[in-house]
Amino acid sequence: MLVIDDDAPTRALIEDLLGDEGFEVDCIAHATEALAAIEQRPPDVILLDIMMPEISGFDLMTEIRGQADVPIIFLSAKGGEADRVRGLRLGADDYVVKPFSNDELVQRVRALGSRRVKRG
Amino acid sequence: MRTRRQLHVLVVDDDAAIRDLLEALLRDEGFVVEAAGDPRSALDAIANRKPDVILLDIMMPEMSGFDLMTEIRRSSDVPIIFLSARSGETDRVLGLRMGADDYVVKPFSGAELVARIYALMRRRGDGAATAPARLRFGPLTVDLGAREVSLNGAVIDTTAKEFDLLALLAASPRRVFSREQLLDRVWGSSSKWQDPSTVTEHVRRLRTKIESDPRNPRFLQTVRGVGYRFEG
Repeated sequence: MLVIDDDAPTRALIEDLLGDEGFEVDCIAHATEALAAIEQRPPDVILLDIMMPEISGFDLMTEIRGQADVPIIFLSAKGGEADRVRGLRLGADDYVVKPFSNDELVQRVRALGSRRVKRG
Repeated sequence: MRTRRQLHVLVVDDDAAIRDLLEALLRDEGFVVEAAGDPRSALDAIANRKPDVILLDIMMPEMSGFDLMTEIRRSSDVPIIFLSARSGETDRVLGLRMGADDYVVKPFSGAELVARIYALMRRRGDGAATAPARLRFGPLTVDLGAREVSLNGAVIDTTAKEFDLLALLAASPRRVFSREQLLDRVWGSSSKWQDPSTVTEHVRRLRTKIESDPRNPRFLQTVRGVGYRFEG
């Protein structure tokens, strides 16, 4: 699991949450490091913030998609319909609005993992 | 450009008004839609027509959606999206934990529901989900199946190459394509033997057809020194 978010408390929360559920979690604060990390060690799922200072999550996803077909869940405070639709249409597998329910996030990660297994 | 296979969606809901609404919405998006108002009809449709995805209500009088999903899962791993007025965290978590692929709360956004169906099918590896049959951006619609462009409901006359160019750009909003890439993808050509200004000219002509102000385009934008992108 790779978490890309510039907000340290969010990274820590997700790392603890998913770590407790048995996932191996890597966290990255800077979008610029993400592509190298993905190339080096392709994760099973990416949790991606949208509002980051260096590059938006939308643009970073386009970059990632050019490199790897990794399932991506947007995790964002941008909760409007237009943003959710845009994120999904751009190629995200799911879109979860912050603040999120811990249990729901875990289940959505598991559901996405299950889709990969069925696919493959 | 290849025309995609139509996705077959089964709507299971005891509320006729919701079934009608979903049928209209999804048919308009180019899906084949079947609706079932009770569990028996739903199981029959699944066994005989094998839908690509099921939209499943939870609160139904004869059998709850949770129980019906368990029944469906005995014989099929068809993707299931719960569509329910039960919006509590407990219900959402329970639905996903039981094996649903997604959980959407009523009242829902039609655009988001459609986007979620495509996201689900894309991840399941269904080639039919690579692009929607109709791309809509405010007043502009690009119908990939009918190869038709319309603006505010009025069909625009486009040449085959103009359509292919617009469809390619509109299928990947905000992605920047160089003129060389567009020559390759739309014309099957290369700047070695075809002038990239061909692309420029086609973009110029498309702008006069779809933009209210071609000099200040909303949809077909120039990325200086790089190429073009579609802004949805």
